[in-house]
Amino acid sequence: MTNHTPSWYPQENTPEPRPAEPNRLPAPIDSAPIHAGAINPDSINTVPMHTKPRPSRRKFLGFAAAGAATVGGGAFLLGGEDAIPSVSDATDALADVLPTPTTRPLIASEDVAGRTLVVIELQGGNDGLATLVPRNAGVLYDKRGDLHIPDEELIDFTDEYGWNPGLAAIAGHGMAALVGLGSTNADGSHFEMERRWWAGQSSGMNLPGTGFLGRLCDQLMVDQPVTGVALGGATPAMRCDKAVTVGLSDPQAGWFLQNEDPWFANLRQGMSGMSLESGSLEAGSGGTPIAHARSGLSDTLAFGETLQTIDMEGVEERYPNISLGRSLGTAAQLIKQDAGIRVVHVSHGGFDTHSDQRGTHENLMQELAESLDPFLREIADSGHAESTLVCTTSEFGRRVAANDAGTDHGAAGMAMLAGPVAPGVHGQAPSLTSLDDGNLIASVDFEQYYATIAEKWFGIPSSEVLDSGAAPLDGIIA
Amino acid sequence: MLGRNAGYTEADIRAGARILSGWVVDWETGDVFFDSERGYSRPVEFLGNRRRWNLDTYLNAVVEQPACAGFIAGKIHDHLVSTPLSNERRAELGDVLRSNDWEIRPLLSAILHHDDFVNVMGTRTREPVEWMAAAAAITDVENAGEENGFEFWQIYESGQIPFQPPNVAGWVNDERWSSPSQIMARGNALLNWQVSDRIINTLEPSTEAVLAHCGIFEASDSTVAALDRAIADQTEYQQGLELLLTLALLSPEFSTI
Repeated sequence: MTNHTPSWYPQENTPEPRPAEPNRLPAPIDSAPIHAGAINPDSINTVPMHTKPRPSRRKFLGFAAAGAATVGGGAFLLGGEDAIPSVSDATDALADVLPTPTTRPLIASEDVAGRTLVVIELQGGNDGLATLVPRNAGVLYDKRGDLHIPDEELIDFTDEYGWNPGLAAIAGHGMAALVGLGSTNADGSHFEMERRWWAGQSSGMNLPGTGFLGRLCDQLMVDQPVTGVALGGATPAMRCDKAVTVGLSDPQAGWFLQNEDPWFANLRQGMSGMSLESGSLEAGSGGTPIAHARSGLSDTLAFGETLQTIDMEGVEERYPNISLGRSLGTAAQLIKQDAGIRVVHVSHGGFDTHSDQRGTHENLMQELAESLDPFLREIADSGHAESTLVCTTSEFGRRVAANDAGTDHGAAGMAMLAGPVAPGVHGQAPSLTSLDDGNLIASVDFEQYYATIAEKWFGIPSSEVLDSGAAPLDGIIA
Repeated sequence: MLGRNAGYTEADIRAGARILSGWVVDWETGDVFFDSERGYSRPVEFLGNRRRWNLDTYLNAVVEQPACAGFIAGKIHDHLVSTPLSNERRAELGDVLRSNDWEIRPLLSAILHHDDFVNVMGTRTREPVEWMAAAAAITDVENAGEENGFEFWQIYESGQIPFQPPNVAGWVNDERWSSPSQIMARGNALLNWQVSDRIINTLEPSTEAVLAHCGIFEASDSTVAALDRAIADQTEYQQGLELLLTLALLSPEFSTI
């Protein structure tokens, strides 16, 4: 790998150069193949591996804060409303200073403090019946043929279910599964259902402008610069009102935010200056594109502050060289920093398996497992196992019957959880024969799934983050 | 091609799938061909008509739907103009498409020559491809595809790969394109580009000249102040022009169109 100095480096003072990119062009991102009706399955674009340039040595991010201006959309409450500890002798003095909580936390704050949520969005509509496979399901053999995985190939889980063989790497982690999960007002459009899952509103009527994960961040934010991070790029699920959430596909891309050379210091100072709201033009222009651009600049500078030191050394070797692997590797480093980041979003694409599902889906399961396994072990090794919850989302499941070696968009699917969860299958198994126009009928609305995360994990009342105030499920979160 | 709730049903979607079955795209070569063994040749009821269909009759049936022209014209309009489209204007633009035999150019002319377009400068966020193309033109970056030139991985890092949207709905234009992810990807790209000698030798390293060169004619006080301060502080080194260009291209004004 040759080192090169960016062309704009001042000549008199050449600081540590940024490593050059490898010689070949990266392969296309592992995104969902575009659905095009009847496609010859042999020539479909199966998910190519993406490679990105990676520096070979330890990188330190962060820089002396160049007087970053207002961060996000509002002031940070000292301690945050829901983080007020129960009054005790030791905290009486503190209670005098802190604002009175408007909602009583559901879980003692000392248990909640430091808890993190990692959401893995499986994009495209993950087939629940191929992920957590019902045993002894004659109807699935009939309706799916070769698509259905025979019982003897499944990884043991319960008497009724086995895991997809691709999940071998995480089978030993004591996962929980939630079945029959979906919207009670199901829709077959990716765009529509994604928007509902992001916004945290299952009926689709009157979607809020914020995202469910963003609203969690608004509740969780304490005196830290950044509360939520979407690795692999920004997501509408992280949109919020008060907290700062950032979309970040590559923490290394911010190298110029930490370079100490005066040229870069001037650059950052200029960025900070441009992020200030201008009195002369648009006062109170909270939602305009230009206002978003300003807060993007200040969020960028604030995020550099958060990542004072993050050690990416060795992450490349420990995690698979795919987008999900790199994201989870980065997520582990962020969590280990204990820097106040409470919600992390990552995604894995390619689940829209209209054809060639058997092989494609099993590969996706394997990629998921091989990315999640090193993450769970690293989290455990660093003492964060009890405070890190991992869960999956997907916009819908898939139809019961196969169609041309694949499946079409369905309704109810399933979710997986890892971390301090009660292992096993939760929820009510949907009937494989009493279907809604060929689709599984959801017995658990995903707002209840979200309510479970909000209340049982973070101690946030469901009504604070979900319009419907859906009731959480018991027994999943340990 | 019609928009949601435009008079088609789930049954029509399935009928359409039947009609299209057998049409195969070779992803390697881009060739489209019909495989009769996989095709469905029986009569199908689609959009109220029951007959044997082929690709041409299918497309004609869709396009002849009253909602189609307005829907497509509306999509193009919405991409270029951020003000909401009234039903009258949508119908007007739909008529332009239809009456010009579905040629795009007359439609674009109708959209771009209208006050609606002129009035919305600066109200839409530039998508990565738009930003990259504009920034590359402004810096006149050379050596495309090579080190210190415009390279594919730079668009890739920005999260918008041409012809590879996240799903069939395409990309959403919202504030994700102003996120730290974007800013870092853009900064990364800029700092790797070699600004051409032509620009270095002819563009005056002043706030006013650089902003004008970047097409920013109404800059906010904070952006002007930031650039003024940067060039004032950048006294020791020769890269003042590059600093101004970088700031101008990362400015909130340049991130909108």
